[in-house]
Amino acid sequence: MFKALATRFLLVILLLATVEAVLRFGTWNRFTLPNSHAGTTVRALAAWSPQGDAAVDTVTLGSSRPEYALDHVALAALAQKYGQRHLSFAMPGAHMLTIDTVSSWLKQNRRDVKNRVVALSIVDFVWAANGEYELGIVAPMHASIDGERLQQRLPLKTDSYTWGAVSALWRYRQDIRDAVFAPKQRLNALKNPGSFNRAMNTQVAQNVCQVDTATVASCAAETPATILPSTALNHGAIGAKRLCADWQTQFGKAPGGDLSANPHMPEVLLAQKLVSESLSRKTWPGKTVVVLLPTHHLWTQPPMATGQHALALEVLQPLVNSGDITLIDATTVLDFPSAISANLRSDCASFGDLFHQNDVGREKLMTWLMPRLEQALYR
Amino acid sequence: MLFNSWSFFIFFAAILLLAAPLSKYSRTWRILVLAASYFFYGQWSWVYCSLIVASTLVDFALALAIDRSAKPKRYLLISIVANLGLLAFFKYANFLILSFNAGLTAAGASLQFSALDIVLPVGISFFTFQAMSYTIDVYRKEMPARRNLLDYALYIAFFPQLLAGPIVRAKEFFQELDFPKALVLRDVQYALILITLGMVKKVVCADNLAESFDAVWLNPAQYAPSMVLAAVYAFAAQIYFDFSGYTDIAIGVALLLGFRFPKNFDYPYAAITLQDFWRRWHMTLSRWLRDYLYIALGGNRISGLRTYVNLGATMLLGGLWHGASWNFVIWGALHGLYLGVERALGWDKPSANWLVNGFRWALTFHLVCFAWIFFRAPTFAASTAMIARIAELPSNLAGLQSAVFAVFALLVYQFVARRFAIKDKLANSGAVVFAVLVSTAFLALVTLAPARTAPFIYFQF
Repeated sequence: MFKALATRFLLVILLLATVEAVLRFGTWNRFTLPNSHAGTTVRALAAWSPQGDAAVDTVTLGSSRPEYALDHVALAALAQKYGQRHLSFAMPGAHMLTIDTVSSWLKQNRRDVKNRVVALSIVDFVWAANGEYELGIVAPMHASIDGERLQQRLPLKTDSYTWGAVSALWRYRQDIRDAVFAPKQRLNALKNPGSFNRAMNTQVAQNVCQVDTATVASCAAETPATILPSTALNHGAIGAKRLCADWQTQFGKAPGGDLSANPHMPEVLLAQKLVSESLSRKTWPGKTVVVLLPTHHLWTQPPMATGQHALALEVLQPLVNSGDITLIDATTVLDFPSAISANLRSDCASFGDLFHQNDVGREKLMTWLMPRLEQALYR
Repeated sequence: MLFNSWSFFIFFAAILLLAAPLSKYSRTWRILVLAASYFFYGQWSWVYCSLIVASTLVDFALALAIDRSAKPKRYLLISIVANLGLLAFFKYANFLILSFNAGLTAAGASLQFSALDIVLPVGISFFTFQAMSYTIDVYRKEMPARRNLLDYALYIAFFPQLLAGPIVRAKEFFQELDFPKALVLRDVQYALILITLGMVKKVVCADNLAESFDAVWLNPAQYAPSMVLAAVYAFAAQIYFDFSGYTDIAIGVALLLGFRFPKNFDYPYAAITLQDFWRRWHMTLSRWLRDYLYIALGGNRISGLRTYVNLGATMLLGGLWHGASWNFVIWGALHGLYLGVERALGWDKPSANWLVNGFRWALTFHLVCFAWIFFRAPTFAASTAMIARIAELPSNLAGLQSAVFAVFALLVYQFVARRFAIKDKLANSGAVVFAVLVSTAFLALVTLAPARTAPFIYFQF
């Protein structure tokens, strides 16, 4: 009986290993939902495929924050002025794990790319990875994943998503699940996947001035459990209220505290170490320009953790000193010239929601940023 | 420690490894499995674990007294009062207090009694019913009192069945313990298939249905009537997959330890009468209620009217067994009413005409679904809100296909699995079929599980 059972279990292991290998070869990539995290990466990889593409000199890396905040058309034009090409590889949900893996992929597949503009915000220095989201994003880049670094960022825990650190099956989990439960939508979406946007701006007209953003509490005030789409509030304002209400629930009774206080928690220290490694010259021998994007003040006021700006600079300043990076700190560029009140710093007219800039914010930011970027990249 | 958690699988693997070198059902084996059972329950609450120990000691002693005494009835009564008292205190005290308060308010009195600050011990309805069945069987001379406390403690606390059944009768359990049969490949394969399919039923089917439709039950007014109807059908599927999934795992785990437990489900939605439904749904509870309540009340051996009263009372108490709320009482009463009317009309036997059977099947299924509204909705007002919303259906048929699809998928599974005795066929299958099935199930569990895994529904009872 034991021999028969052993045969059965071996067969099970063999079949599962086959599925794992098939996924690692990227077989599922062609079926990913174009707008999902994995699907966005697949489209980005197609757009960045070296076949038939002229040499690119500079790449923008980051999440949806730079996608909205930066004027990619202007950046491309600036590069062109110097006879170069500058395109974007920024993807929603991307954090340092993605930046690390994309950098690795570019080194293997696009040796023409010399410079990278890594656009972050000061809230990106507390975690080394963005959980299951990021596993989905990096899944299609298996060959470029550094397994050891991945497990440092996402150590195996009882949360099953962390098993994506060792198994492609878990990395594609969410995308396969969506395909099984909505096969019709998937087939329709695959008919016209659209192309990855490397040099176009995302237009956002709305702002968050409909919400009192002085404090998290005032922003969260009178947020019902379900906000139905209404004409009174725009999507950005609804999103802001929901986010504030979530923060209030999560941190209202246990505020985040001061992150810059010493000694740091072990997970913060690890995040600092890994972020520093990802930005250093060891990871990217070419030029790295780090832009700290404008961040709405609500992210840095109690009950949210304070001291995030200091924490970010604690990681970045040594890299600046060693010449590994050039830092452009635009964190407060979209604040009012002089604070309207002790709390109210960020100009609501420049933010499409609490994460992203709108068209007004992008224009203001780029006016400030362009000369500095030109200096850092081309002079 | 839930069956659908990795910690349970580590725990169970450890038990199998530790038990493997021991002689089957030896004293050391029994001590090991009993200790594991207490540890399993203790992971939820060590305080309430002592409740199980206390209940075990009391019923063990009372059964011995019943066996030896010339006047055993008094000891049986003590056992029944002790078990029902335990159940009443933990499960029904607050229900009675709140109902009494509501009565006082309705009568205009300002007096109110405070609810008790107690937590319902998990599985209390199951282990007290097993304990009662034991003392009643001893009283009825259907079996002698067990002389070995270790054996009886194992019967009550045996971890595969402790939290939500199946409700195994003592003589069935001791039969397995006293006359161990060697496990053959088919048994092990069958057990593994039950565990695998049980996990898929729970994690993939039940939990996804819950995730999709729980919001509808919270606020039916916000959803289209067709969606509300779909939520009712989906709950019929969810509770089946949840509870039968749990039972499959429990039976599979017990089988790997050498115990063959009775079936608890037999494709209930393929039933063509309500009586047939209750022979297939939560079979071990139905059997308990039949043997220890319905028959004790006289069953159908007495006058016609009394039979209907017995039927109604049995189903009403069956409803109340599930939980302390008026909704469960209504659910039980509805089933009592259904069974009574069915019996009165002579519709409790299948017809020779397949068209008539088809009609009765549809009627049975929809009556069961209607009753599920009261079972699932948190309050009576919420149940009526669901019904009121569904009543608007004729004026708004949009999205009805999801409701039809939910029913269709469930029924296809029930009829096909039953018609082809799929579990038995799989138990006898070769290595390749087994490996493909288990691998596919594993892949389904990895990829199709929702982010949130809910506890088994029947754990609350």
